[in-house]
Amino acid sequence: MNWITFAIAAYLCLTLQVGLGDLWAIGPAAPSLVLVLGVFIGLTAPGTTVGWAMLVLGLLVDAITPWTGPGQQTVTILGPAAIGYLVGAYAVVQLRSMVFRESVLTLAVMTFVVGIFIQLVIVFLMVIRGPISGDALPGFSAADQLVMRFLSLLYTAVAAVPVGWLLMKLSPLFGFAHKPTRAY
Amino acid sequence: MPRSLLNSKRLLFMLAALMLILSAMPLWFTAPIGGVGRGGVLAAVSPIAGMLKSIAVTIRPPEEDRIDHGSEEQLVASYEMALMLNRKYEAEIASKDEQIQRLRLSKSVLQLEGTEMIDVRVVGYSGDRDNPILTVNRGTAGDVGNRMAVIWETNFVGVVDSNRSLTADVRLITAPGSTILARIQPLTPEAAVRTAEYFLEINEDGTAFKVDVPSGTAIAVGDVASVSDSQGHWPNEAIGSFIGKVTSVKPTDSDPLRFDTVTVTPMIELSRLSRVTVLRPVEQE
Repeated sequence: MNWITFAIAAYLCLTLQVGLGDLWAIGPAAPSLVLVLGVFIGLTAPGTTVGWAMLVLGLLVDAITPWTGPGQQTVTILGPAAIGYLVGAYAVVQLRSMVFRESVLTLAVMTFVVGIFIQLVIVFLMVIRGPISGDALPGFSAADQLVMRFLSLLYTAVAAVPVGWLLMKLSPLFGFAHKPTRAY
Repeated sequence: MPRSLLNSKRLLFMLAALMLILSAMPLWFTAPIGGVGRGGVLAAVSPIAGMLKSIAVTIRPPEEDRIDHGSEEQLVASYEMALMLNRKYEAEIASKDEQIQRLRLSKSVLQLEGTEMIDVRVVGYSGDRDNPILTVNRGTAGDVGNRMAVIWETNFVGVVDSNRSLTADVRLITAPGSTILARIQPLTPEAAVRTAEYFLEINEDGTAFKVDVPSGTAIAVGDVASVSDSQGHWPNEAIGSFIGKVTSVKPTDSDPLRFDTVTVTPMIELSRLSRVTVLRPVEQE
């Protein structure tokens, strides 16, 4: 995979997500372009590359996700999304052999399925970090988080159709290495 | 050729383990690291993201919290209610301000050194015009004895006039024939030292004190009267406590050109008190 293309794509997705998040948000739900990019790479790139790409994307998501800390302070916790995306990478690599990868609809469905894994891991890590660190976030509610993240996931799956179409059109730029097919 | 111990997969797992540890660390440790990461990412995306955000705000302005004020009539009613509450609170503030001034003045005059303050509950009131008394729930057994001054906050209420063991009678200052030597002064501690003293005398219906003063004396409505000297008639502990407030200054009926009649009305309803404080002199060794 061409990592420069990946960096540019990740930057664009992140910028659009931060800049236009308020514009296309419906209530608490907003689509995650970063997740669509991750799943797109997951469907096509080699396993280890998918792992690295998803870890980087997860870290970026962690960096732009604000949590409410003590005294209504905004805190950033690196780790939960990074691990979540890594688990998502494992899931997409395991599932991709069962699906027809070149379809935009596959990307949308996989975004939803892999997103469930990712969001469950993130919420789980945030829930257990309270007892482990003895420093739970005030007002954190796992149920609220799951509802909000599920709605966002639905929205992301819908958004994955046009974004995925665009990514698929640009896939030659990513330089995914395809195994040569045996000629008979 | 030996395989390297550090390959891409192992490095990935190590980083994953690091992330796992980082996410479980207390906020004092993880928040600064996250803050640096957040700052870096936002700094990188902010040139374009900021521009997009301003476009987003133009297209879709942030929703304001809309308050349902109801119909026009309801709005007017709410406004009038707000005005009424405002007036009420302003009056309360003015009243508290006056109370603060009184407390300051009282603090500058009231001598409470060598005095024990005993809080007692009022258990009865006799409205007999000739002998109005409050009955309180402590007597000589509770260190409340004859001739002790009784106050409520800083207002002079009366004097203990009994020697019972479990309860005590308090003869009110508004009893017939009551006279008190008092200072009449504005509500400023500085004024306390330069005011003259007057003998206030209770009126016939026992609701206010009166005194005739020479015309032109610097006494105005709103001034307060406080006990200035016991002269043996009132306990010394009562000196400085308030008798009432000047409610009128009018020319005297008998000699209107030379004298004014000053009316001092108690600031509290003595018959409605539920708790009072007995000032017990403590014997100095």
